[in-house]
Amino acid sequence: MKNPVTTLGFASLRASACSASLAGWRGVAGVVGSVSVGAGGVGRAMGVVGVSLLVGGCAPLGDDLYPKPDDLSPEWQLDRVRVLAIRAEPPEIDLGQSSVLEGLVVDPYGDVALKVWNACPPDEDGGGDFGCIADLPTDGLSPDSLDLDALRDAGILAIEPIPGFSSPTYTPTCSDIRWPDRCTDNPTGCSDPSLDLAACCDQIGLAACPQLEKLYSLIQVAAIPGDALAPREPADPDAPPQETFDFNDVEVAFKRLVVSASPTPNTNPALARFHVDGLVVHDEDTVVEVDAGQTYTILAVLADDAAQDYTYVPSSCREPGDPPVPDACADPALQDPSDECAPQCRAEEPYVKWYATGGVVREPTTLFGFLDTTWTAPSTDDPVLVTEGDVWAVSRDRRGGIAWRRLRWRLRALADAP
Amino acid sequence: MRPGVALTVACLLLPVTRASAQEGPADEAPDTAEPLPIVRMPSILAYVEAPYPPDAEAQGLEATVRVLLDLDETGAVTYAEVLEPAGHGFDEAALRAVRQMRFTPAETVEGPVAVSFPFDYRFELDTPPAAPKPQGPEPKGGVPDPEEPLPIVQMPEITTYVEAPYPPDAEAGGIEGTVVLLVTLDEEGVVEDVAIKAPAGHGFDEAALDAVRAMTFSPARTEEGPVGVVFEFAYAFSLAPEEPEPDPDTIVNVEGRVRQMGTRDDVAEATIYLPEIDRSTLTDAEGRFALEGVPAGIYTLLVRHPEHLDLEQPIEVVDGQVTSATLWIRSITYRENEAVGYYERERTEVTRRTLSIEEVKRIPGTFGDPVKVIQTLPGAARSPFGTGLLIIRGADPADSAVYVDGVRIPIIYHLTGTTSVLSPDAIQQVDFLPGGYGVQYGRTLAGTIDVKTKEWFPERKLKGGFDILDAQVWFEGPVDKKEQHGLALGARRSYIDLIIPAFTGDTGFNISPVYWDYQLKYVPRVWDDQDLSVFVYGFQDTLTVSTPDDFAQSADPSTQGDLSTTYQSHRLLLRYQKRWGENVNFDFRPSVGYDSVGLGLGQDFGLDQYSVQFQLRSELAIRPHPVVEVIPGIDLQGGPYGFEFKSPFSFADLDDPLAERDPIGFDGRGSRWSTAPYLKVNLRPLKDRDRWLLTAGLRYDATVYFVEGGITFDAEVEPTVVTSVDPRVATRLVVFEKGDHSGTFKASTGLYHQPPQFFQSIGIGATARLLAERAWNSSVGFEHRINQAFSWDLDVFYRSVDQVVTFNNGGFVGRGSQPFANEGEGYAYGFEVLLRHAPVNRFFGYISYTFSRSFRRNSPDQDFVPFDYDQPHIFSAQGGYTFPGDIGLSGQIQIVSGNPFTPRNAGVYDVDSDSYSTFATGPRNSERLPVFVQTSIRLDKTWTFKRWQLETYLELLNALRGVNPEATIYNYDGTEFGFVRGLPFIPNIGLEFTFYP
Repeated sequence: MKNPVTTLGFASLRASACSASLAGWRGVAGVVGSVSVGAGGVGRAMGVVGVSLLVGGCAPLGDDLYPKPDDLSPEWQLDRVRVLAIRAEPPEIDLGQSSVLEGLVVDPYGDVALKVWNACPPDEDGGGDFGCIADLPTDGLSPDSLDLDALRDAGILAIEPIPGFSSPTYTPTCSDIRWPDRCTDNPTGCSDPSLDLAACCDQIGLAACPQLEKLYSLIQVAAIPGDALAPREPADPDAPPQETFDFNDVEVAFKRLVVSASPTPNTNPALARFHVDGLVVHDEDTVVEVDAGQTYTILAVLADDAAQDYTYVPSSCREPGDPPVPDACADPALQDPSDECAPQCRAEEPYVKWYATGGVVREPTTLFGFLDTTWTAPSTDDPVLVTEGDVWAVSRDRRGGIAWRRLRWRLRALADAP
Repeated sequence: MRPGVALTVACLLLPVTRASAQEGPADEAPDTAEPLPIVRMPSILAYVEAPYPPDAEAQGLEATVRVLLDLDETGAVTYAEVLEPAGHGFDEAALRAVRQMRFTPAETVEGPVAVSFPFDYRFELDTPPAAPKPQGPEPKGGVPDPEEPLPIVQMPEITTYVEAPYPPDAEAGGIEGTVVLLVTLDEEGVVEDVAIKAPAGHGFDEAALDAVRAMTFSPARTEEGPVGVVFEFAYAFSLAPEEPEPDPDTIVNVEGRVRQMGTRDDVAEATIYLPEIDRSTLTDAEGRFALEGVPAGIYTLLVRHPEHLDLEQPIEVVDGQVTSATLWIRSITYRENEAVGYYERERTEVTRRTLSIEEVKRIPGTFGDPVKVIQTLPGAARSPFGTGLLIIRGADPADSAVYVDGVRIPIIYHLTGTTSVLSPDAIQQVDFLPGGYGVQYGRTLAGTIDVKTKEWFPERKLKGGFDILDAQVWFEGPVDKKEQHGLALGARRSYIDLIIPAFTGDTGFNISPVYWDYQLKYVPRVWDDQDLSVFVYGFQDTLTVSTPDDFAQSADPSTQGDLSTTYQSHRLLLRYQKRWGENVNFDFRPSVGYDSVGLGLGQDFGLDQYSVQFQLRSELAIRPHPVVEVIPGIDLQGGPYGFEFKSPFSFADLDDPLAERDPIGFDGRGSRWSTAPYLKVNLRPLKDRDRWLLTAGLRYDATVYFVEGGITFDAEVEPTVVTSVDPRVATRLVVFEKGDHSGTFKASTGLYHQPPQFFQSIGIGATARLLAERAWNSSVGFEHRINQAFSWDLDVFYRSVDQVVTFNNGGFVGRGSQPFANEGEGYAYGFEVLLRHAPVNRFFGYISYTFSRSFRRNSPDQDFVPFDYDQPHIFSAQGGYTFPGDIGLSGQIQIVSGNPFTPRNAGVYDVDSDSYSTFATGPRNSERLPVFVQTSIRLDKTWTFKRWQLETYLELLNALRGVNPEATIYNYDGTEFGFVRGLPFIPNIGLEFTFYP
């Protein structure tokens, strides 16, 4: 503030009328005041400054009336229960094979009581906007009273940490796949044309609809806090108990498990290590000491085999009964750029999403080739100082492959700070 | 030295039937060297009858006394003397009488002048005096004669004066003379005969005869019309007199001119006063003044004029020198205070709202833009921030239209929504027609805005200015000496892209809107019954949203890079009008325009579209009878278009994040041609034609869409044809009217159709099966003008719409599909009130309130829900006052219901797409944004100098409330929401200069 008159005016006004939110507006009104002083006499200038103070000073009233975009929690900020990723290992399987499922559920305050896994075919549009509908018993998910068989029949794959039921594994069947219209509108590859695709699939497998993509099953995990499990007290005592969860209380995430007979099935894009301002961090248990308020460049290094080459043929080129697609990456001679139906060899370009339990992530998304983000450690000016926590990096290869890695950090003791 | 010829006219006239013309010699000529010819001779205003001398009466004597009369510029007799005495007491009686008589002044082409002329006063015993007595008493003792001709009320006037050559011998001998002629005119003023009554010899007689025979006159007139007359005409020949020694008291030694500062207009009838010697005069029409014989000394020259501030100017008068001064006086206000036509003009639209440019300029928050001000008028809803959408009576913005000089244009606001694409200096008037308009406007369901550019530029002016948004320059004025060719041109360029960061802070995004526009108009005014103008204008808007190069905008590598939008438009408008008398007008307006839109996201996603628009609007207005006006017209619009689209992925894969990315691209070409003949009839059945207007019209629209290119899958697609018929009626009835107090009832009803937009008319490899959208609009209202300043206006309206083109869910399935269908329906109703104080007595202001509800559904099987632009309560009040010294203070407050939105809540995370699908927790548009409140203040001051003006202003936009919620925004998973903010508090400082070359 170069104008002492204006500064004083604001100081007094700030104390009286317009609360503490004026700081951002001082500059604006100060400019008005300064211009006025230059344009006219002192008396007139004082009048204009007064108006400016009133006007500029009260403007923040409106500014603070409603939440604004800056008030919303950023996606990278881990301050509550979040499901950041689901990993299927392997992420792409043929019928008859199984994937082991794992969820990256961040639970900073230990709220999550259960993680419920289930699976379902995608919806009619081929996508899965809202995942799977699971009919969970809401009158009590107590481990002691669960009927595991009934749950399995309901499509529940696992519930963590229910003993004996907490290892989610999924083995898709022909009926778990949502078959694309391209195949349902055409004769199947089975000898019996009266069979539907699922039945045909049961006979000849994925050759019933030979394509390397868009054959999925959905797998889903719901992270349920403990207080969401207790039967709710209805506002009306005579009303029946609520039968569904409030999705404000439950974190639900789903992913597609790719079912294919690809010659180059997908693998998860593993992250090998971090480089923190040049410091190489191999071990996830390593705790990196950082200085409060200091900004660091964190590079996520993919494992050598994370970015795969894979064979691709457009689905529109595949017809029922076609032989399996050969591996065009292994045999480049199969590739023919002039033939859109010839097998192509394509390369993955995994990208990384970043999350943190404290501090500030500047680039929450980093793309292949530029997988370094900027993270600023918590500052001593923060209202609540977080002294230790995690930075999470989640990598995706756009074919359903997912991996993650944790970087643990701890604020260097303030007395030790340089 | 060439001898001068002076002229005086004997002006006592007698009808031809009255043979006893009075007689007398002509007078001596005035002593000016080359006097201007008299074009209007004196005539008797008040005749005074002389008492008949008793002795002469007793002796039965009659006589004619010729007297010389001097009249001043007012026609008053200033001198009289007997030229030819008659004795017997006649001379004295005649002199007394003529000195009391009053005359109209003689006039030259420059105005009234003092004259001298001979006047014959006739004494007759048995007949009344021969002189006409237009306003005088009946002659004493006279007996009315039934055969007596009517008195002359208008005497002949010379229309062509012919100067006689001075006889050489007479000139050489220094001889002067006056020839008295008797001139006989017929009823058309043609000289029938000229005879010499009093010869002068020396060649004067022949010269005068020839000259007068060649002259032309206007006819004499009685109350019943023109009549033939005989009158005396004295043609005087005089040599230029010796230059007399000037009288110091009659020499002009103080002279000058009074002009208005800034505009440099001449100020007529200003009082020039020298208080030291108590002398004053008035300025003439050119602002000039002259004072004679002012003694040497130092004076204070005081200039006074009722519409200007007093000026005191010291001057020094020196003997033998003329003191000249140009006195610049300051207008009390330079603000144009006339209201433009809210009630003043003839209106054929039921509800048309017009504001004066002066009001518009001073409403804070509108950036002086007359089109922007529309949003403060009843019937217009508030545009969502930054969109500039026209929301009229709750309708879809696409359902309203904007015209410039009758030519429809695609958009009227720059992309920021802050200013229109035309410079305010180019605009003469903006008519806002919220509904009930006539059949000349079509292809719309809701309102219309007709922007009229200036038709002429009477004064040269060069303007320039800047404010927080842009800088501009403008010239207008006649460009030739005869002032028959007017030209206006201007340009404007924004720099808001440089200012936005100061108000938005570090958001991680750099938003750069940039616009420029230009206008050029040429108007020749060389015909009385024809008008022609050529108007060229154009603009470009670019909006770029960018992030730092090292900042990924999303996880999709195909959509990295800047988001950029470019809109460009150029138009050429011709206008030709011809009038045949007062009852037939022809209006012809062809135009051609080019529009292009470019939309790009990174390198792989883009849409480029262009269109060429030919338009022709032509009307023939015929008024065969004062009751009826018939207006057949035609409204043509059409032209080719094309587009190219490219995307890094297929639309079919939008919901599959794991689908392989195969780029797609397709193009389309086509054209749309629409013709609309219409017939409009205006009836004014009452004797007072302005009291009741009944308008009926019928419009037929036919639109044909041709499509080709990749979008048709290379198939031959039959054109889509859409037709409609719109009958409409409206009326305005003045219920009472007394002076400035009047009340008008108004009502309208009619059908309105809107053909599909060109992109809606594209079937995918198939002919689109669409109808025109349809609306039935009705309104009834009352206008009450309380006095010159106050008025109020009430409108109640209802609109139902059907056949609305909506996206055909499930219809976009590739080749042969129909992406759109006519399944939408809706209705809107409400009322509008406007209370207005016109710009009178330094104050202007108006209060506007609109209650409006608007509901829509996309198909008949759905429930009606509030439409996206439904704003039930719209209130605004604005006003301003001009203080002495050209200081203006104005303010505005706007309070509007928030727009509806659909509430959402926590979502489910799709790990593969890395996005959340949120749940709607209520019906569509079941909640509203908070009430929008905006208050702005403007303080301005105008300085006026001799040749230019400077206006500065400070606007405090969004002064008391600060930012307003404009839209909802949810966090990444829908568990939190906030509001996107509109404009924050902005101090807008502007400066504008106007130079009058």
